[in-house]
Amino acid sequence: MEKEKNKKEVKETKITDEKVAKIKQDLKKSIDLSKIEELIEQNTIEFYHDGVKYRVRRPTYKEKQQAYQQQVEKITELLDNKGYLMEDVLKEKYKNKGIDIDKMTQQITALETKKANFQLKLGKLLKEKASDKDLKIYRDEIAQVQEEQIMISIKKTNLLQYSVEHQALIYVYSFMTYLILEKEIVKEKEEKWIKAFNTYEEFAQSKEDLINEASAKASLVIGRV
Amino acid sequence: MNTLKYLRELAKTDYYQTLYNQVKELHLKLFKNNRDLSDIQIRFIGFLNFYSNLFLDCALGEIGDTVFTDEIYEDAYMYYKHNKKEDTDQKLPSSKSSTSKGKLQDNFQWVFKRPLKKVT
Repeated sequence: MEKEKNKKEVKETKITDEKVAKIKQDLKKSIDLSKIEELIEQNTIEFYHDGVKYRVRRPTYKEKQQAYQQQVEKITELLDNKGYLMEDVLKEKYKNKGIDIDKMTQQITALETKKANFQLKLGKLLKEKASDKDLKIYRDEIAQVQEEQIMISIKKTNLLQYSVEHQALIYVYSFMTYLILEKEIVKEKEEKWIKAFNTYEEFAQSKEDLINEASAKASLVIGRV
Repeated sequence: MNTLKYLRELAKTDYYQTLYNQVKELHLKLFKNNRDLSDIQIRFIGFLNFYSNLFLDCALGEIGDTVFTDEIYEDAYMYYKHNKKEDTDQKLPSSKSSTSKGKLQDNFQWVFKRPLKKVT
């Protein structure tokens, strides 16, 4: 009898795979939240890569100017390269092939208006404390519109990614990441932050997964260029 | 990592909502830097204000708790509220013009009544 009772207790307290997954998910969320917290409070994000502690911090005014200068040089270089076309020229080429990018922009705007109309209706229903069933109808409509917007937007970005403007933008983000990426060193028992790479070329030739991780984090600190 | 989603979650917490109200009243520091805010910090302040308004409306009984169950609900309600306010604001000048000086004086003469001039 006692044995059976104990068995039952063990069964009840046994952590299922589902629970483990949930705990892991919550833990990850908690870590991510603390990273975002650190970012908004201090404008820096720290991370480990191959046992080295790195951080990306907000660029200074001087660094931003340096990056813009590089952007100008990159645009000039790309303009001389016949392999890259300006966005407008590329759009025209796509149009001749039956792909209308301006139409995609119009579709995104039309979807925005559609979404706004649904939001007004849903907002009114929320104010009137309507039933969950009624709310869900407009909620799902809005979710669908948002999804459509994202799909068109991704398609548009992919099509235009080889334009001079896009390439220059990618370059400026990459250059800024190099400028703001630092690594921690311990010198005479004191922790110090130094530049992770001495030159942009050195950064560009480093491990791809480090570049990707640093770039993803840097984009949060840099914001819009 | 969905940054915007996490920014919203943080802005919604009691801790940051309390801090936000204290910042406004007691001029406390919200970030390490006081000026030259980054894009993400500006967005976060936007969300703090957004949720502060939403919590206030909820406390005033303007809206139920259901709104907090989905970000789409939160956005929709605030969009509706903002646009409803804009509608009211747009109507105000026109209602003002319909109650122009003459009409206003016709209906509410006691407000603007001046002593009648004595006819000599």
